[in-house]
Amino acid sequence: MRSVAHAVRVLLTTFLIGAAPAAQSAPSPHPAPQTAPLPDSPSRGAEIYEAKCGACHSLDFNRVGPKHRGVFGRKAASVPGFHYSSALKKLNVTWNAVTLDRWLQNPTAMAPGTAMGFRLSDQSERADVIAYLRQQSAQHK
Amino acid sequence: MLSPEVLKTALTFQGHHKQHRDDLIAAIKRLGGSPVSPKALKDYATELGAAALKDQAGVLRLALKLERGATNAYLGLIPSLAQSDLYLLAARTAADEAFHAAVLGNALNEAIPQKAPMFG
Repeated sequence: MRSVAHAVRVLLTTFLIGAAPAAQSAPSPHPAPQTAPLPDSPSRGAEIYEAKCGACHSLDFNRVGPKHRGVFGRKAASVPGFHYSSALKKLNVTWNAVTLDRWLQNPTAMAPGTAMGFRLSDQSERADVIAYLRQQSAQHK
Repeated sequence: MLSPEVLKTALTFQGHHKQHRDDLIAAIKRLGGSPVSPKALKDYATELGAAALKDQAGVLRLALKLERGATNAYLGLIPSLAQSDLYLLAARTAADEAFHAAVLGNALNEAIPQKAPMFG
C-alpha cells in the first residue's frame, strides 16, 4: 500500500510540474541575464538535418524532397531528375543563407502552392542547418 | 536478420504505416489532389542505404532514425495546414511515429532524452 501511495505521489508530481507554469506567472525582479546566442554550428546542424529534414531529404538522393548536396548557390527547382511543383519552378531565387532562412521559416508563404509544408520554426535551428548545408556545399565544389 | 519477436513488431509497425498512408491518401483526395505513386522497393532500399545493413541492431537504428524523422515531419507540417481535421491527422500520425521511436529506442537501450520537448 505504501509503495502504491508513493508511486501515485511520484506520478502526480511529474504531471503537476508540467502544470506549474500557470502558478509562476509573476515576473522576477531580477530577470536572468541574456546569454549571447551560440554561433552557427554545422555539427549541430547535421543532427538537426537528420532529425527534422531527414524524413524527406538527404544530401545525395532525391526522395520526397530534392537532394541537398551543393544547394548553396543553386537556383531553386534545378536538381535534375526531381519533380518540382509549379510553385517552385516559378520561384526565381538562388539558395543562400538569406533565401534558405526565409524558405525554412515558411515555405508556403515564399512559394504558395509548394509541396513542402514543413516549417523549421526555431531561428537557431535554421541557422545551424544552413551552416551545415553551406559546409556540405563548400566540400562539394 | 530479424528475430521472430522483432519481425512481429516490425510487421505491426508496418500495419500502422499502411494506415497512415491510407489516411493521407484520403485527405489528399478530399482536398482535390492526386496522391503520388510509390517508388519501387529497390529505389527506397538504395536511398536508405539498405545494402550496408549488417545486423538487427543496424536495422533498428535505421528504423529509429526514420521514425524520429517522421515524427518531426508531421509536427513541422502542422503550422502550414489550414483545416482542423488535418491538424488532428498530422498530430495523431506524429504520435504514432513517436510511439514507434520510443519502442525502438528502448530496444536499442538508448538513454531517455533529458530535455523536453523531444520532437517538433
